[in-house]
Amino acid sequence: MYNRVPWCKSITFNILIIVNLLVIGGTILFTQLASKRIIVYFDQRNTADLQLAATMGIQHCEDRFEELLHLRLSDDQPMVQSMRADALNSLRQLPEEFAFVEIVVVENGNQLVLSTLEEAEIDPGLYNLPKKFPDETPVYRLDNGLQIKWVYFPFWRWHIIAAISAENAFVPIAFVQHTIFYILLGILVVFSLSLALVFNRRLRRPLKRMALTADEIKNGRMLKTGIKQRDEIGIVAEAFDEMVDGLSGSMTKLKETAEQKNLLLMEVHHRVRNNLNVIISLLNLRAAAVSDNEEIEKAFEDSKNRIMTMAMIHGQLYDSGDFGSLDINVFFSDLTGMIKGIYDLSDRIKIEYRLDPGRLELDRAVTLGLLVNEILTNAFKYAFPDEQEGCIYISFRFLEEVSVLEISDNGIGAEPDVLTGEGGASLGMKLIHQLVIQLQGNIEIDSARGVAIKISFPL
Amino acid sequence: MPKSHLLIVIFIISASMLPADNMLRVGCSLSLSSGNIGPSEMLRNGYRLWADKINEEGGLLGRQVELLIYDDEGDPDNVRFYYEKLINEDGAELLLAPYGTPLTLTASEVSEAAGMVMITSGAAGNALFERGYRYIFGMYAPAERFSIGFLDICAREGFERVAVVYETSPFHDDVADGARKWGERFGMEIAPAIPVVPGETDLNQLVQRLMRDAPDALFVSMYPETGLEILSEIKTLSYEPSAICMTILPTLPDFLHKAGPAWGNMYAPSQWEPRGRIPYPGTVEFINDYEEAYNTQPSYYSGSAYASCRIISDGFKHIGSLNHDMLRMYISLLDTVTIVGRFKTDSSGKQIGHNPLLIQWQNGKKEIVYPRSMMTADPVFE
Repeated sequence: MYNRVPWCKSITFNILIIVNLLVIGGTILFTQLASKRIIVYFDQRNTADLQLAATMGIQHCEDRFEELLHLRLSDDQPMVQSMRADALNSLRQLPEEFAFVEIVVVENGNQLVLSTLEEAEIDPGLYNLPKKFPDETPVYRLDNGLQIKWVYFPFWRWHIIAAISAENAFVPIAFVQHTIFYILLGILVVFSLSLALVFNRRLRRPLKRMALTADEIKNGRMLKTGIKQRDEIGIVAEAFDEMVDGLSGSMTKLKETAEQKNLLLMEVHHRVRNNLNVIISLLNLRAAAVSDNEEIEKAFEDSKNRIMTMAMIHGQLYDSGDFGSLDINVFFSDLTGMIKGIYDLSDRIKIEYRLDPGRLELDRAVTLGLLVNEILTNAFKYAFPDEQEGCIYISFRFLEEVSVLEISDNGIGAEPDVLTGEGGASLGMKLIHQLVIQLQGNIEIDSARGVAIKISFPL
Repeated sequence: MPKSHLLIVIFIISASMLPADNMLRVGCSLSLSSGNIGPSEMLRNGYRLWADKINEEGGLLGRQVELLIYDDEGDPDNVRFYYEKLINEDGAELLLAPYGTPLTLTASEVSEAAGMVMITSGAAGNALFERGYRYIFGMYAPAERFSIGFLDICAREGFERVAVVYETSPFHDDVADGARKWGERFGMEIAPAIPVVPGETDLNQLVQRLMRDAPDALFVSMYPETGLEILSEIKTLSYEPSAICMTILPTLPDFLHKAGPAWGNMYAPSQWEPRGRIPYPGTVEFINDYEEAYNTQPSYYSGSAYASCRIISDGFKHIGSLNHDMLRMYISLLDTVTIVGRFKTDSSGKQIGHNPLLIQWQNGKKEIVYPRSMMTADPVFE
């Protein structure tokens, strides 16, 4: 029967987990590698921006200075001051050209003449800077994280300082990192869903279908999966379907063979029963011929009863259509009924049953039938003399390793030596003991109050 | 009578086809055998090229130009003699300038007395324009500005102290004064300038003094002859300041040949450089013509000489006569761009439109390192 596989144990789910873990690992690795690149890129960009801002800053100053030189106005103090103010104005507007660059101008190393930075960002390190920017570093970092680059303009003794705050320096880095992360996360989700859909369509559904089909086959319905895929699953499904085709043919042949066998068995049982009935008829004829001899007549009668028992069993097999076993209830009911009928006991002796449900194998049934026949016959004959009424208890139980048949009566009982199967025992009792041996079982007989016979034999 | 009485007459064109009295004689003296020969030869080449070109174009006001150049041997007396001769005997109708402020001071006295315009294409001393002369006009940026570029980049480099050594002459006096003034404006300490009297000052002791003072940079203003001597002493004493700037000598194309490869990082103020990057009208054509004619690169002396002649010839063409009074008025109102840059003078005739460049020898060639707008390379310091 097809059982639904829990998701946690599903191959599909596990493959998805592994693939997603790989993708997540790859994503983290990529993000880490990319982060380093991004930081390097923006660091370089910030450095380039600072360099450019510083260069543009000094260009503004140089333009004014060259103008003063060209106009021969470098000694004209009002004009020099005007140009200075003009240069400062240009420098103040310089940050508009950049995303994060701010401009600071320090005169004579100690006088702040311009700053577009927030007041809190003005670091003491902005003062008394060397005139030349150190060659060994792309940017200079102050204690408050401010990245700066400067140029010195001697004419006005200005340090023109381009600055990027630490916070602003990492804004684009964080933005790109977050963007990459969310894009990768989105790709991961879409990828996972797509993979799940593909797995579900290409793997889980066909496998489930194959399992359901296998269930149907187990129940006798030779169905095919009907899966048409150009992949390994398709190959397996095709092989499965070919196997179903093969099985279907074999099953048909097997069924035909079984039917033929059943017919043969029916015929055998029918013929055995008929033959046994013929034998019974022959015995009846012979018994009539020796009716003057009671002992012989009795021997004939006993033999006839035994053969009838066997004929009944074959008749049950023939009637039931099952040629391997017999239903316990039917077996005992028919058998006791038959024996009871033979001795015409009407309702004087009652029979009570305690039978476990189940079936008896054919070979055991014949032996057991003969046993029951002998025991009941003895009981009917000897336990209730003088038209006594009584009761016979029949019990048949399937225990763990053995089957137990118990037949007891509340009759007059019998001498123990009669029941031993030895010496002076009757033929019936000898037969009972022989049949028990044949069953490889044990027999216990209690004749204290009536006769109770307990036979246990292996299943 | 000096031996330079030998007249060096250069006929720029074949004048044999024209009547002798129809030639337009243009004359000057140059120090071709003694004194500042190098710059003088450069001026001569510039003058010649102009005469060639003007004659190729059909002459000036229809007359072919005859260029008369005397060798003054660097002597002011010879200068006076030849300029008077040019006016009085040779019939020169246009005078060109000699090389150097001292000689130009003398030559301009003659031209001013004769009422003839002179453009100082080989001198930049302030003294030329402080005499109230009306017919003299400057071609170069004034001497006091020669040091601006070097001092500016030294200040940006973080140098604190610069020493100035100068040859005693009106031009170099002005250069030294300018260095002191601009050094202070750039916030540097300029030690008192050290004068050098050619033939008298012990250059060895001077260099040892510089070594003791150990300034960050050295600015030298000298004519080429004295300049070579002091460079020799500096090399002998293994004095190695972070930067040296020298006027005149390093601007000559054969500077490294004359001074030696040890001065491969020398700075020098220049009026102009023959680089295609300088985008003045006619510059590239001039450079090509010059190189074709003389098989060498022009210097700013040649460029200025050619440009000054062009200003004059254009002026005469504009006014339609050889009237020097009108030419003087024309030039005094002129604000134009020549092959070497802007030309504009003040009422004294001093050049106020042109600014000097700063060049540095790098890898065997001259690179412009200042101003930034004309830079062909970044300045290099030791």
